[in-house]
Amino acid sequence: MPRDSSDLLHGTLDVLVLKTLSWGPKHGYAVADWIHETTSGELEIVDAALYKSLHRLEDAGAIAAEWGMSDTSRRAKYYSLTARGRRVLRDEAETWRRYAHAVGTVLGKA
Amino acid sequence: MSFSDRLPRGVRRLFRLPPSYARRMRDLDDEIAFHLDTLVARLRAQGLSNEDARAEAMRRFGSEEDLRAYCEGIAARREPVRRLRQWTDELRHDLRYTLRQIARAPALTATASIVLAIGIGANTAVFSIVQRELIAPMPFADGNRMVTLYAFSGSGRISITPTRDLIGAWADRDRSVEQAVIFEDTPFILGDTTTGPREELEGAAIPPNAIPFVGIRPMLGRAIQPADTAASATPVVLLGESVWRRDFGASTDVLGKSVLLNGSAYTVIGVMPKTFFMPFVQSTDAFVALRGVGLGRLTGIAKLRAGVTIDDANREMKALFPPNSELNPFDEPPRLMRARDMIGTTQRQTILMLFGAVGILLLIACANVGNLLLARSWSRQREFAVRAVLGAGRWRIARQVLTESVLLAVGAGALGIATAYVALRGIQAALPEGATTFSDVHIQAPAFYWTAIVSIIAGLLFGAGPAVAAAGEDAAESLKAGSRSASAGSVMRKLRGGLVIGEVALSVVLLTGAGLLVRTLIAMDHVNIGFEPHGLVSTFFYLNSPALSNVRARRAALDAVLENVKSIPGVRGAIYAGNMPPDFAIAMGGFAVEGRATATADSLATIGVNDVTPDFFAFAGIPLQRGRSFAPITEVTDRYDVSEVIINEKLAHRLWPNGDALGARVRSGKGPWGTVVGIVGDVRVQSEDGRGRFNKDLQVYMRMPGAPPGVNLLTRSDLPANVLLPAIAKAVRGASASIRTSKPISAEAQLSKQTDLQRFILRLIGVFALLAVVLAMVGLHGVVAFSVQQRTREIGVRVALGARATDVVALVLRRALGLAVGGVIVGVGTAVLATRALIAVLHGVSPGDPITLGAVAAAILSVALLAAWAPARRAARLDPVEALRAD
Repeated sequence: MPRDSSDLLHGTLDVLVLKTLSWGPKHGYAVADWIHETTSGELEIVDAALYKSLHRLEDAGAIAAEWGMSDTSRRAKYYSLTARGRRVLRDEAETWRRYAHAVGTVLGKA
Repeated sequence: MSFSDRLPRGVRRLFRLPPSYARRMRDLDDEIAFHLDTLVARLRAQGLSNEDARAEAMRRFGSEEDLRAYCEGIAARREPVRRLRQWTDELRHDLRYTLRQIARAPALTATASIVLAIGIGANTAVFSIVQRELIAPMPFADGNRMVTLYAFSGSGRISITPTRDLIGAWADRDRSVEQAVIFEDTPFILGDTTTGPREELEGAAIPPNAIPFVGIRPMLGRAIQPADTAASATPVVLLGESVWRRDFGASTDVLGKSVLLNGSAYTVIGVMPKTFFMPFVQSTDAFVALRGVGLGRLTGIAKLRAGVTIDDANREMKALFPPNSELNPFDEPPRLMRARDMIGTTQRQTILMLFGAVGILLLIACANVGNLLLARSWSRQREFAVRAVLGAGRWRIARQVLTESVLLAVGAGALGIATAYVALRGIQAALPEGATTFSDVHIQAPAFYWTAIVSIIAGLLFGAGPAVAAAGEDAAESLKAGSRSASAGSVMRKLRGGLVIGEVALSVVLLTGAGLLVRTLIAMDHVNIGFEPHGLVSTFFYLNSPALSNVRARRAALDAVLENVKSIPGVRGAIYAGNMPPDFAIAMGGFAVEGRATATADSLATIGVNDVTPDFFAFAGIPLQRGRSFAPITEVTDRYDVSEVIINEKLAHRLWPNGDALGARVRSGKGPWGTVVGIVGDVRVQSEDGRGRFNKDLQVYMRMPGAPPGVNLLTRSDLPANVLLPAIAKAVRGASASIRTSKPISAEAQLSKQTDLQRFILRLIGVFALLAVVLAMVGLHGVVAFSVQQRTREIGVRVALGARATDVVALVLRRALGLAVGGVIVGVGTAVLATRALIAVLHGVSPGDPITLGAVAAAILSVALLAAWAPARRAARLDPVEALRAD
């Protein structure tokens, strides 16, 4: 269901974060890095917005946070997907695909 | 850099609980810092300088303030929930911990629980009583709206009977009340048509709407119907429960029976429970249908309409019936008074006293348990120290101790309710016969709430000391092996000593109060009652047998009986009289003095009347102050002759404040005039509970006719009832077969009945006082024993250095006496102030009475010595070697 533009923006970012974390727990920097690499730099995500998304998802219970030790022996906050998060990811991803397909279909018509 | 899929090694879960607001914001700072530092490191690795890397990193990051503001919003939202969760988690933890503690120290818990149960239970019991008697005394629907109409005169000092017209007009016109009921106070004399005792009953003639007014239905039979008030209907009566049980054996075949009331036959149609129509009538013995005009005085009662206050209603009364108007000839408007304010003030005071006593008892119980717990917390020092070191805040530790106390108190409170139940049953069983107060008190819902509140407050009270002591420990000190922190020790000592002094002081106050009340009762017994009751017994003679219908035959029979009775060995004297003092019959309709206009107050007053023989006053010990007694009758009739009357001092003073009553002519109501030939002393008439509605302070005596229709035989002897009764019966049978007698009544028994209730309450308070002393002494004992244990080493040293057993004993006793004396001093000071509250109830003794105080002080000090004796002896027996080795 298409929402207004800020919702859409949030929603997109949230789905991306959830998907990123579906491969395993990461801290915020790692998530940004992974998205950047996977999209080959195509998506430039503002870090502050990413952290907003992470905190929002944590508040919603889709991801859980824990403090741990990074490779560089520094204290870092690791996020991981919860069962709820998996469900949300599945639903939102599905919605997104349908939406993208619909938009694509419209735009595809000459 | 690569990041592993799984959680990095060495992840430590530092906090399980949700983070606080402050923590969240700090975490956010750390998170942002980590990100920026990582980015800066990478940028530097790419060749940028430190400053450039930083600048670039900040630029790439975006708006930090925006992020912060967003996270602050989330954190603020989550905070209250988090706080609540933390609180409940801690509470659950405390409760589990407490239960473990209780399991580890069952003796302490048991003792504390019992002590508290007594204190809380007593409070619950008295609360139930107070609730029943003071707060919710009217056990019927809308009791709080019920009002009674009173007329006043003389600036409200004299309450008089409203006139019939006034009451009628009030019922019609007053808009602020509804459901007006007009009834008539009526005394009855009950006599069965077959045989049986003559009894004086109090009751009322009520209209049919009186029963739905109070909403109480007959427990047997039917209510009075409008048909019963018709002039031609058979007279019917509703018996009161107590009369039904007493005289008719509570049997169901009383319905339809015919009883004789005031000489007329009435059919019993039902039985009313004993709460019916209280407090509007003095006694709920019998109720007949009100028909038309009677002799008695009318009373009007009603319910205030919803939303109307008593003041509104009285304003309307003032408007409807202004003073000195046609309907209201008095100089004040009539007033409505709330029924529940009719509860006697003596009762109210007594009940409040009970409450005070029981409150003090609870305080002492709390102090006691507090002491116990303080001692316990002393031995738990180490445990608290460890917790403090592990990071529990002082408030956390204190809170845990308080949780323990409150839990203990609530548990004891539950036990206390059971105790209260048992106690109330016991009180009701031990009540003096016939007392209506306290007779149907039950533990109801409000009592449970009260108990819960009291328990929690008690728990907080006695837990405060131990909590403070636990939280204030110097952690490091306590953890040193074998040490007990010296400073904490002396704080503890002072606290415990202070508690004991408090307990002793409170028990002094309670004992003093009880002592003063005892002296009041004793003093009241010696108040001049106006006659000599010792050995005075009255037996009623029922003279309506046909054989005695002839006046001469009746006279002869009476004379013969008197002869026989006088010759019974042990009987010092015997005469006939209408009533035995302090009883009087009632004459309503007031009195008047010839040649004077009658004040309306006088025309409506009631007087006590007794018909007597000339030697009555000498026999009864009523002093004849002026004039003479009656001249002997000249002819034998059965009619009352009022040509000569004798009045009491009070009446004489009222009618002739300055002059001389002798020789004046007076009459009662519309009766014939009589001449005052003598003035005698007042006989004190006091009714139960101080709720007397028939005032018999004004007393008139008239001559007993030669052959009265009924008479009391008064005898003076020291014979016990089981000897006197058959002797009199024999004397009567020997003289006449037609006289039936009733059970003899002793004047002294009647008098003591009036004070029975007060004595009973006093005994209750006495029990509380005793309990209080016991608790205080147990507390004292505990503290002294503990202090002995504390000073074991010291005592060992002293003995080793040559102290004798007596020195050790003296040492211990000094501490004990020090506490006791301290408590007594504080207690006496407090008692002098506190007992001022009792002034209204005391009689013949002043609140600061030194004799009572001295006796109480001496008693407590002696008991204190006793309490300290055992520890003292134990101390004296200490083996010095063992003592020195002890910790």
